[in-house]
Amino acid sequence: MHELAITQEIVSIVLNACKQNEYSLVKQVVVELGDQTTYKAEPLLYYFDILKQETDELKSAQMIVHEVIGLDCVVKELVVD
Amino acid sequence: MCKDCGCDARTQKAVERHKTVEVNTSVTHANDLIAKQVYDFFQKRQILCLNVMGSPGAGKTTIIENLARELGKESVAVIQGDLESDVDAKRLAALGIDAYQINTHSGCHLNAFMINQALLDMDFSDKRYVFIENVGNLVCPAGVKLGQHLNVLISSTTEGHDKIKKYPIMFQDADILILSKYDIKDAVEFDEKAYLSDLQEISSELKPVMTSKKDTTVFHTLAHQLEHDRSHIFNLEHNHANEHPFVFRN
Repeated sequence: MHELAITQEIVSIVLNACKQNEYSLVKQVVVELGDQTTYKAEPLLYYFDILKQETDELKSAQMIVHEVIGLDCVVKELVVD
Repeated sequence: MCKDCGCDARTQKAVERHKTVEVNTSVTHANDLIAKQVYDFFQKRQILCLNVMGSPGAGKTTIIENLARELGKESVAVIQGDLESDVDAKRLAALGIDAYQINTHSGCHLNAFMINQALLDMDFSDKRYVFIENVGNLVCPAGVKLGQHLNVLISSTTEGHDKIKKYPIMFQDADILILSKYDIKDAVEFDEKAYLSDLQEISSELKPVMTSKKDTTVFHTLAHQLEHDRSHIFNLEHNHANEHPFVFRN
């Protein structure tokens, strides 16, 4: 239900990391998705593919979602150029 | 081509160019930072903040009205969350209770940013309690930090006895559980035994407080418990002389 807002937050976290560290291009975003959140991976991936088009840093990035045990959704790591 | 592994310079450069960097940031991080600010705001002023949740029509506003009456209306402020309208804020204001309306429009729960904005517009002089009446919803408010001390869940007999099984996270997150509309439980064929059994499965400590619109005495006891909680949280001197034996949490 909240996947669009969550994906926007993921993009925001990544862009913030890019700005702080002067990364110009992200190749991969790795997310860990807790099984007790109300979010599903498929809509996160769907929204990410839409939202990334609006940014220079993420336009060629791929998001990988690992489903884990837990209550949280965490941006774990980036693969940057 | 390099002599050692046959790679060409371009491939080697591509592998070296990519690097993996740790981020380890939760999607709730920004909200939680603001929630901590809200919490600190209330801590500094010794105001007990309660996040009141439950389905639409469960009785959240009515229960807040009753508790405000028992605690002293001048000591209570309410932050009211609804998608649209200020019906409930006006209802509370008509009773002399300071109420601030937040309209989320399409948002199905309040967040810490909204509460933080409300704090800028409200006067908390002489306030000891703030009730945040969250948007009516048994799913989304669970786990969203607002800066509260306690989660109060209003569950009503009219919803049926199976809501604990269907929406366990809300019940697991509750510090105080109120079962409202208890006086009409038979009319709606509410299975109290099944409800209590389901509750026991997820929490051995949480016991529901039964409330009815016609019986206001339980609110006196609930208010007393909140006064005790406030004293305990802020390490205030508490008058134990009139302490009620009633306990709704182990």
